[in-house]
Amino acid sequence: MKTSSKSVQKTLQSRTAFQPWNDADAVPFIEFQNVTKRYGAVVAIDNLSLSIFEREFFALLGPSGCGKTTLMRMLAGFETVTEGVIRLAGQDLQDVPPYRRPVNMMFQSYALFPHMSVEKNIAFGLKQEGMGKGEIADRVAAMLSLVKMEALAARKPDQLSGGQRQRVALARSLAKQPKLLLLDEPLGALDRKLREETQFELMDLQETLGITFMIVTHDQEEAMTVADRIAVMDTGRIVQIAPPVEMYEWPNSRYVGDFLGDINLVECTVQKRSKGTIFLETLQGQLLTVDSDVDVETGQQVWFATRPEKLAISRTKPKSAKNCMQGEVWDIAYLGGMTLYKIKLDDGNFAKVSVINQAVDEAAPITWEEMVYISCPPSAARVLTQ
Amino acid sequence: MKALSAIGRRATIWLPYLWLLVFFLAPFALVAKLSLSEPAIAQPPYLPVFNWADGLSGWWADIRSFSFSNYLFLSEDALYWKSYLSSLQIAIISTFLTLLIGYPLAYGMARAPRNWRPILVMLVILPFWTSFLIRVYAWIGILKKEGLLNQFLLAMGVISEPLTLLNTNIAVYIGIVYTYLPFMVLPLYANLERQDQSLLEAASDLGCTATGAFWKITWPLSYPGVVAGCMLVFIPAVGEFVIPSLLGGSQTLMIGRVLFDEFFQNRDWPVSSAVAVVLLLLLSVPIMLFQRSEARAREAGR
Repeated sequence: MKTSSKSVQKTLQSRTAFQPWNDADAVPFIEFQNVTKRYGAVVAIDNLSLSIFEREFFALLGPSGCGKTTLMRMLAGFETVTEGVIRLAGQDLQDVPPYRRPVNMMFQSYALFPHMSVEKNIAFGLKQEGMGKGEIADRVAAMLSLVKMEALAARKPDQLSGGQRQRVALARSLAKQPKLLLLDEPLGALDRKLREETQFELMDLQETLGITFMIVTHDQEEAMTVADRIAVMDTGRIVQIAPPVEMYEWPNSRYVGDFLGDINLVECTVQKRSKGTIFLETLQGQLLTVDSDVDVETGQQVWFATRPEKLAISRTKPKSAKNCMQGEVWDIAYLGGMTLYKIKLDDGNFAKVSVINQAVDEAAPITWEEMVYISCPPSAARVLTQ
Repeated sequence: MKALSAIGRRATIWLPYLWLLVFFLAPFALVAKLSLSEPAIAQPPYLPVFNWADGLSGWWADIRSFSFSNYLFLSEDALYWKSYLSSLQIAIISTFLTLLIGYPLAYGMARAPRNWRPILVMLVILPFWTSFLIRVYAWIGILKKEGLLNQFLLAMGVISEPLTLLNTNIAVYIGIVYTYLPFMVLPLYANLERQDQSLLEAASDLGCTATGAFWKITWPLSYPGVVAGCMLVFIPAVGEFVIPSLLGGSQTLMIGRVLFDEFFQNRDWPVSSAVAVVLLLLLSVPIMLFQRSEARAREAGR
């Protein structure tokens, strides 16, 4: 987070108005305070603190086994906390059983009751509350129309497609109008097209209902699409919390940079640091410049990081010779919208460069085994210290 | 080659039917034929009503001379009706008791740590490794007046006089429940173990206590297992012969015993065959119900 310069922070702020995490007076809705979870000797969650705000769409992102699901299940009440405190709207959740928490969860497997119709599934939580029959019927009807499943109300779950089941699961978890909705890999079982559609629907729904959403996912695109803020996790810790743009543009570590999209890394030492610019030297002695005010010392080992789409590729050496490297085209992946080049640099490392296919250069496209130059302006490169 | 594989395919389809024909339908036809004949002091002890040697024209005369007197006899003598009813009663009560004991057992097994489960299943099956007859005999030693159970209860001071258990219906219930418990536990276990645990979490998430979740989710989802277990206990229990004759008393009426006595003591093969045919017809009702519930479960499981 410190990596981003103040001016950029400002532009980000104007882009999205909803940023309670930057407001010092905002009271967090969910608070994890030094939470640790151990299974025997295995530490699943390691002294983690986190604040989530009301009406926020928060994404927990990480590889499997990073503790993101455990974190969510602790909120739902299915896992106990070994150490630390979790508060929801100021209330300590320690002794609140799952069935008394104002939290509902949409399960990864959907967990629809197979012996009940769609209607009964949605009404289940309302019946537990002891709500009147007429009121239940009204609420169920409203939920069915919310997820556009009115026509299939009498069906059993096994008579539904995956996408329809997902909708029923969503309706069921929203029926009780929880203060917080937990979504455990909610779209994992859907095919790509349907997943993208549903992501936008989820965002609209969250905006309409004004409920706080917390989503667990290992799909970085999904997290970037839906979330106001993302927390990237690794082995029980949060590595970085930031809005999607900030997370992608200013990752705080190689781990985050690599997990969220592709990143090219070059190991360097800091040669010199002047106001707003850092000069680096690669192991081969090449000089690189980055516009950055990261706190580094001369001689420190750092990484010069670039995103594939921020690199330019050319046959001739670009005029501005800053951050320019030569290499051989090793592999080309044509992806339709863009082409990904894998370049073998002179030092033996590989770099990925992606080029948007705005116009197809039929005459002389860059091809295999050609010698090319890749370059990156100092403003688009990053310095990663860890 | 193609023709050969087609024959092979047809053979695999017909093989089970052939099996049924040879080992079920043919013996049943023999028993049914026997039930329509007259008893006689002869070897074998009945007059065959149907003679293959009569030829096509003779067969029709044979069929017309079929006597249903044995079936009439069954309806006239109260002993048979009482035996059928008492068999049904004993089978129903002991099936219910087996379910009462078997369900918590299967539930505990299904919720036990994963690596314990194979051992628990083996422990349930273990009694099958010794002869059924010996195990029922062992119960005589436990239940008799000076048996282990009475000794234990006397020593504990629960009772002051030994209880009469052996040769009563109670002993028959104990014997049936003990013998058929695995048939109840195994299908229930298979069902409960397969149930998705996230359903219970979902129920709890939606405001349901653990007890509520059991009755609203686990129990209704275990119906197929309950039906399978009950049928596997009920059907053989109705016709049970060994347990009532070893553990039951003179007042214990069970149709299996009546059948045995007719066949071996009275040497009245036709009547005992009629008893068997009626028993089969009686049992085919629950068997058909069972088949239907199975088919429905398969449909739902699709």
